[in-house]
Amino acid sequence: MDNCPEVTNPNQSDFDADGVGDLCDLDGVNNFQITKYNTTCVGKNNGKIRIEALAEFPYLLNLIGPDGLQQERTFNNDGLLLSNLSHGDYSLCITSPADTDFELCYTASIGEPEPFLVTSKILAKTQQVQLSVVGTESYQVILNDRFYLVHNIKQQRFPLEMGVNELEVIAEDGCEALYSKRLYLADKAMVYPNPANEKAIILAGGDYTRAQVQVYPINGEIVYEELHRLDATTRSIELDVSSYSAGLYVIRLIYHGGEEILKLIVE
Amino acid sequence: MIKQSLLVLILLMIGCSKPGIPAPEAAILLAPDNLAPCTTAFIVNANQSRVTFRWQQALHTDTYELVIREISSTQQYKETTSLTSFNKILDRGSAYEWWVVSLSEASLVESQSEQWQFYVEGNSIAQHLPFATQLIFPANEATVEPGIVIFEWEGNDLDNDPMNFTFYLGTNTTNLLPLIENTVETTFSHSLETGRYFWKVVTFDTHGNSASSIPFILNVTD
Repeated sequence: MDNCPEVTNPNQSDFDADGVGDLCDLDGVNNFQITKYNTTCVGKNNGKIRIEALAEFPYLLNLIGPDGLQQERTFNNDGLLLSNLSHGDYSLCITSPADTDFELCYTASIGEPEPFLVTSKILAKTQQVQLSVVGTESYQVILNDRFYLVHNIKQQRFPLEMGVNELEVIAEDGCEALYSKRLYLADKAMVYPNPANEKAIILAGGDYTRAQVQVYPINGEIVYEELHRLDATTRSIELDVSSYSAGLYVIRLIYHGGEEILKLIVE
Repeated sequence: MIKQSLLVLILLMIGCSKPGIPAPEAAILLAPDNLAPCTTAFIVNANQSRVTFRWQQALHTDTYELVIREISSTQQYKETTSLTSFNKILDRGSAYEWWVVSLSEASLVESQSEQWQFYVEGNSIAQHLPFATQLIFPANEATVEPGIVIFEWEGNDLDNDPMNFTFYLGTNTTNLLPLIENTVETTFSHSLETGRYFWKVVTFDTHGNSASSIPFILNVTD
């Protein structure tokens, strides 16, 4: 028996095995194949939704989208492409004048890439950090256990303390740090943890950009020597001390215009 | 005479070289713009774009080291040039941080520019919505006895996304209530008294898309 008497359907396919062939199965579960395309950039309204229909019927789409968007569109089994869509959730309900009881509803969530971009800069003269943030309207800044909520400001300055400053930037509705930095603002260098057993972090003071780092046990031969480049904000150099035998070590930092000595206990 | 001038010249060179070597200055970055959320650049192929990095010439500098770091993967590229621009092919749809280090052969000091970030526009990501949920049991307009009814359905998704389901039941198609939400199960048991019921199941994928079923009618009679 032809599962679709009024339409030519050579392979008699019937996805949902309801006895009605796909090409005439209005409520067949695979009648509508819908694909959504995210926007490619923030603020670009180039999202799309494509609807393809197998069965030969006239269709009516009721589309409800963000920002009060509401549209009615007719289509048939040639399909329908909705383009220039902004990001957001779209509700699609499809009916057909061929069967007034028939209605299938879908939601399509058009996403947009959300690059969360942050840059920070130390303003040593005013003892501040200048943060620039895009990709979110509001964000939280946690700086040395102080909490700031920022709305609609791309660039903002925050006061730094002398020494180590812990900075975290978190999206307003998130809890995961999207940007975290340990900023060091000081004239002198420091090393932590002290005593150390796995690794020690040297934080360089001032604003010199390179330092020769030498490490030697007190009254012993040099065990480490390396030229390090220093980041303008973190000022940090990581030192692997896991292979050092326990004892007191001297760290010598030699930089343009001076040198400094630190003491480190390795356990 | 020539020898004398040469000697003066050598003395001058020695005299100048030691204390007064000027340190290279930090380069001022020009492009891509800091915090640019949509750098199109030059699309090389579906997955890559050629991004042109540019900065201002820095004083007392012989070479520049351009450092580019992909933020999510933290993969880092280092390129050295004596020019003030560099073309780099980067993956599309990713955010990057970059800076320039000014180097001088005559000086041990090196200077780092600011660190800027930008995002390279990628391709549109496409996903299929789930297919309409297929209701399996009881069949549409089936008649059952009062008591426990086991409902069964099936979801289908071309992307093979994990699927969740919400089961709705009611006595009227306009007031269906969710009895179980976001379940991964494809069956649900519920005790029903006599009456005429409607039920449907909505399939959700993991990208915020969903598809309903058409509602089925269920008659419960003694």
